[in-house]
Amino acid sequence: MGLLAEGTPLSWEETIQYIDYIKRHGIAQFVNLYHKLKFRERSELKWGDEVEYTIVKFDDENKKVRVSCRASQLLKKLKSEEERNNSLGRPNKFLWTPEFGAYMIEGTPGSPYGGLLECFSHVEEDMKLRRKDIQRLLREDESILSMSFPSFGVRDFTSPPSKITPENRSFGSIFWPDEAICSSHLRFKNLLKNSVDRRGSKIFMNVPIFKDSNTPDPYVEDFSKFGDSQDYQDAKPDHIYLDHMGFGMGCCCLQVTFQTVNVGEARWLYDQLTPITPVLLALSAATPIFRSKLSEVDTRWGISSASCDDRTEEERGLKPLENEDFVIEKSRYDSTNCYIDPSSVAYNDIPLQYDENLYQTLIKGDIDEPMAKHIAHLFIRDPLQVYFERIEQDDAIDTEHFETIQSSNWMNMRFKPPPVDDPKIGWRVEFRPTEVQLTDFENAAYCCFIVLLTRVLIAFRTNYLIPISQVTENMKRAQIRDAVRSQKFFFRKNVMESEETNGKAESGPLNDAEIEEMTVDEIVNGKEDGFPGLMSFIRKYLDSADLEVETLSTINQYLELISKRASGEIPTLAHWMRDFVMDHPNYKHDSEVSDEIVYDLLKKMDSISNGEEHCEKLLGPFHPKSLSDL
Amino acid sequence: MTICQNFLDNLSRLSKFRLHTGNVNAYTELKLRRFENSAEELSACLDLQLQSTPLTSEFKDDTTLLLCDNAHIDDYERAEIKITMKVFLSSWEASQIEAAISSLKEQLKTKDIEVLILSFPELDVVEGESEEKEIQRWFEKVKPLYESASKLVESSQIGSIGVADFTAAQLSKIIETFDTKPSINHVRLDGCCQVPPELQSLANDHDVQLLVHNDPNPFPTNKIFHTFCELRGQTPPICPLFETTWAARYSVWVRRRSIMASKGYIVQFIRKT
Repeated sequence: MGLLAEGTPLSWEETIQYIDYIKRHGIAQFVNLYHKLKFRERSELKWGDEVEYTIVKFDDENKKVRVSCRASQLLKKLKSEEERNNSLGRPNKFLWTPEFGAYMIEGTPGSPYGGLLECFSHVEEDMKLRRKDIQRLLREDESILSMSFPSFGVRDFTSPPSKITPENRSFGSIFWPDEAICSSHLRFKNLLKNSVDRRGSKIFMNVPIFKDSNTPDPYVEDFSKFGDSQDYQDAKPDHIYLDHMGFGMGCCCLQVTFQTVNVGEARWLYDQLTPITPVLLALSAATPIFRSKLSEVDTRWGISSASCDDRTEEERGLKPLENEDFVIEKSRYDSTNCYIDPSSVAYNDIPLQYDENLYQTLIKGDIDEPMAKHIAHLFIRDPLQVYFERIEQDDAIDTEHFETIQSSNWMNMRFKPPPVDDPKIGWRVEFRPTEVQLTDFENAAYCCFIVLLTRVLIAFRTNYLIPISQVTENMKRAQIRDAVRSQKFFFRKNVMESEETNGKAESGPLNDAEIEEMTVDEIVNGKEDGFPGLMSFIRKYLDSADLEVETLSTINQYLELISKRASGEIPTLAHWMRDFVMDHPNYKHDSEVSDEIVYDLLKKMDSISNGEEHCEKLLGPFHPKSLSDL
Repeated sequence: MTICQNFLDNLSRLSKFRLHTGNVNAYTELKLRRFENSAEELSACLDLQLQSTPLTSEFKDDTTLLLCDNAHIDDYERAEIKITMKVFLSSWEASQIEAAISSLKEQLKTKDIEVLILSFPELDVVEGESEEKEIQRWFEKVKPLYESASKLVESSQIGSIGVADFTAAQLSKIIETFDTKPSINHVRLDGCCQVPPELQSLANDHDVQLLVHNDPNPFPTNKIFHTFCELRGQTPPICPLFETTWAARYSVWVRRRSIMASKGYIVQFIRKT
């Protein structure tokens, strides 16, 4: 994920002198590539998923589980196997890349899935084989889990062990050791260092703690054994204090990328999926525990957002503007601030900041206004990964200056221009909010749902646009504990254009009456009053698709799972994890998830994940097929 | 006189004609509803179309009257799309197959179609007949029609033949008799997703795809139209004068993107004798 170029990375101090240069050239590169590629059409739908995994090590004797910081070792082996395949002309079934955590690994299919719905008969099998690919390299006491580790930052949470002392801290963190950051690629440490240096202070997040019957009120943690008071001055009462990028970027997620037919469809689809991102975030909630404490949120989103926040105090509005151009509302990891298709402009109700000169360069370069604003807004973020050898570029053919800023804006959706040098790849859209699920059955189900949604959006030309500020609000609500059941989200009621405007006119100014606050159940499964849920469109689309029996049977299972998660009949992973903790005999109802509980929890999750145990409570009545069935 | 009335008056002068709905997904109202089955969809579509101004202007015998705009199919290259037509035969006449094909080719302006699925009429029941005799009698009726379809494959007018709701026994008979094997058996799965195992293994052995449909069997063509007439209230002159024969449902699927470009129905009417 992101730019993994090689070379000598510059420190933040060294980067400052090049910022303007890089931005100017990044914009020029975009203008060039846009015009070069705007007529590129790719007639096939291709899509692929990215799943992030955590490697854990079980200490059965002491009933303790730790993250196993061996990802680099494993990746070395996998990389050499990959290269061997390449040299022999054999296709690679999977591709593996490093991620932020030294215990993390990201896997993607070796080549993307195609446009036929029959592919859904294979997605789950591929994901299972992918997992096996790592499992064969693990030690007996290790496991690979597609989940975010709940005990980052507790004492002794890594294997091999790491010690944090006042003299040996990772960027000021009193919890997170350097050894837990990926060492095989400088990118991650470099990113962290430059973020902290730019920001001018330690990264931190305060996550509201879940108040249980025995949780102290107010909840104030005693950090004195970790350091001096200035080391945790930002800790707030009634919150779980986290103080390192790893707490966010060390979490795992599921991303899906689609190739669209051309730039027009890409822009339109990017917009249409945007209001749906909060729905999927709530539906996939899987991260309720931070630093071994139950929190009031069920997803990693807000924590990841804060963990990448390189805004200075001025940009955060804490000091009057002197050196900086803007007060910026959001971290560079957050939901988008604008739609990008010309037909959506009426819904852009968030004032966008951008450098006027860069914006004008785009306009003069014949980039239309909505696209120019989107790109110029991305470019308010400074490059954090600059390689000395790559500063000089040929803007006519290189795109790294554009890419470094584009790929370090981590949003709920990403609009991806094709690579100039690979004519086989078209304009793509990346769907990014989804939390990764425990089993491949579920991950395949969520991917299937999202891919089918894109087909339905395109086939029926529905319109789900709401003011972008409401998407921002929805994203906040989606993170709340049990949001899928307890929250309502702004959602468009009238999703079809009328006959007269069918695809022709621009979306007019929005009438308030067209938006309603709906539950996820209503959004997905529809309402009594006839509001067609997302599921209704999907099923209607499938009715006419002449599907093979096997494919339809598989898809039906996936849709049933999603439908029941939406209605609350089946809990999300977050909810299930909370229940597990609550029901554990050793839990003291004080929000603290002891090592023993974490051990039992992850042991159970491991046995469900590898198919040893079928958990009807989490997965419903569906029996994920074993590899031998597939 | 309403425009619809005018349209219906024109129709009543003909001895036979065809109605083509055009792309049913052009209608917002139809897109929003999920139908129990395709007959309901056709019924709702006709309801909608005959309330407003049908587009057609030509009224000749055996004309296919197009009720809505079909132009957008031109957005796609022929190679990108896959045209499937399912014909619901009302009687054991090969001429119905030919008529349906030529009608669709003319309406969609195409030389050929990829898949033709045949939904044969129901066999009348003979009291006390053995299973063996029944299937033999059934086969005698199917044979000339299947042969006719095979010729269409040989002359490249259609790419492959599909059958609908065949049992394992029926499918087996067709496979062992004809050189041009069916590539598809259209099945309805009402709730459960279980195909009888012998049908599944027969299909696997002979490369027959089992594809799922939501068409009622038999397709209630005549009933749809009569229901419509009753709902209109004014009993337009059509109903007593005409009856339906075959009906066809087609879909134009953009192959590599899994998007439907168009879905429509064509219904043949003849004057009652």
